Amino acid sequence: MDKIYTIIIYIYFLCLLFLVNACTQNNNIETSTISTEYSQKLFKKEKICFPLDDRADTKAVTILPYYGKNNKNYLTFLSKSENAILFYYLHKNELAFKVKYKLEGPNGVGSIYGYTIVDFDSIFVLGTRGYKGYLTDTSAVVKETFVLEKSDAETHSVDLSAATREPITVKDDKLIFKGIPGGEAFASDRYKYSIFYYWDLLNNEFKSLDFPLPENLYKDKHWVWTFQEGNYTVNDKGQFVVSHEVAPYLRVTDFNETQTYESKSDYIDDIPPLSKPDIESGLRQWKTENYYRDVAYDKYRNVYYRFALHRQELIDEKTGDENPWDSRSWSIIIMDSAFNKIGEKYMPPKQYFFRDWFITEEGLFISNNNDNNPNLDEDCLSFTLFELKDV
Amino acid sequence: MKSVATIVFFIVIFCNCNRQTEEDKKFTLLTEALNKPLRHDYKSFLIIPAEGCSACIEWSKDFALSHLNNKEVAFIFSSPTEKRIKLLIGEENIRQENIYLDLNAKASAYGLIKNYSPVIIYAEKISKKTIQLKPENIQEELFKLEQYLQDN
Repeated sequence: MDKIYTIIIYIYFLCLLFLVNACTQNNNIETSTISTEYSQKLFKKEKICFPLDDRADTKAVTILPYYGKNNKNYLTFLSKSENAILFYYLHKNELAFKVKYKLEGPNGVGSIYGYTIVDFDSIFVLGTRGYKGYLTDTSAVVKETFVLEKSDAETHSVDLSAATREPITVKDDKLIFKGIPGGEAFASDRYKYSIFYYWDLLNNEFKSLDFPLPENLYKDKHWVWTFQEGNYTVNDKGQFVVSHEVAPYLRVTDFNETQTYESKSDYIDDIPPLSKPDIESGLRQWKTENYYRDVAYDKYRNVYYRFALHRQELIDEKTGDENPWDSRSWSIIIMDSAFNKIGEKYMPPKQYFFRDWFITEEGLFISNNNDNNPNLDEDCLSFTLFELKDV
Repeated sequence: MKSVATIVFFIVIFCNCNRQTEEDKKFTLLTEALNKPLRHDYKSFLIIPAEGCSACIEWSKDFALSHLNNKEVAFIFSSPTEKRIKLLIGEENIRQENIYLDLNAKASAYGLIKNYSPVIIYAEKISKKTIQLKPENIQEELFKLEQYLQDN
């Protein structure tokens, strides 16, 4: 009788072990093998390198192609270590010139956060801890200064930001910036405030545009502060296409009307909010949880790319080390001009850096300068070209 | 009775001697990953990531540059690339005696740097005291470190 009892217990434990194992495996979706049929695919082509001297870092933050007069085309990027915008000839990959900004003095702009180029005589720079803007030119002379602080009735503070994923945009005599409402990181009313602000170039006023975070995703929910923003691109109709970090959709707006289009990654099942709003849980959410990032309009092919960052474990099983935020796998969702999903490209971990990219007639260039890439070259701003083709 | 007290005394001493906290263990691991052996007689350490909270990094970097060759404090700069540290503090400062490099960014990997901000570690008698810096406390904590260096 005892023997039978022992065997039953043994079988019971085996079943339990099997169930636990099955549950664990289910959590780790084998992401690289997802294969949904789509009409378009990004094909990896050649690598290119913009050589960096010993004063420039591999992380660019803002990258903008600029198409100048007489077919002189440039790739420009922000070298924070030099407080300069570097202009490289786009097809020769050679440095053309640098526009170096002073930190202080009559032509001082503070540390540059971001910039946009209208032409060589009109370069708008966001500097001085993000609350002053400057109209400058390629000789780094400050022609005008804008104090970007709220001047209307609203009382909350705003931190303006500018990067490749949130480009300063000139539209209808307005200089439009992304702004993050200041205050407590987990303040319950943060979602009520707009994430877009503008400098009125005609009336010299700083105001907000009516575009708060979607209430259904943010009201009564806790997210790390970096999930309470939005990344955007501007399409050929002048509409802002916004990718909120936790939204399975894109919002398309002209700031009068806003439409929503589904935009989900095959690799993201869900994005759970925080159970408790504290710094440690927030940082863990940012480092490990699924979320959406940059959205980019490709005017040459009339498509959109949306970057989806995949969930990763906090601790690397092999090394026992904490995984850096940018060591995870990610994917590029491809959507046509009507926001129908037409493809999704899986990007392996530790190889590409999703923050730095640009688009030209040739295709989408993604940075190879991921700090976790064992082949990282510190003297080269390196990109891989991805070409969009029919499957 | 005396012998029981003696045994208890030694047990307490023994336990205290082995009371290495998780943070101590992480710090020991970090010292093994540095570009050169860390001298054991520093009273305090400032671990500075080359990327992260930019205001915190600027303050900490300035503090480090104004305390080069100080024998009481060591500065550990953490980054996956040496170039980024050179760009931050200047190539000429990288080989100063109290500047150490964590070139595999192990301070973050081991969880000593928790929020991409610098960390102060005081080498106290039994275990180490760690203070995470953030924009709200950085000036005050660097001031306290300055005082600590002068008082000890």
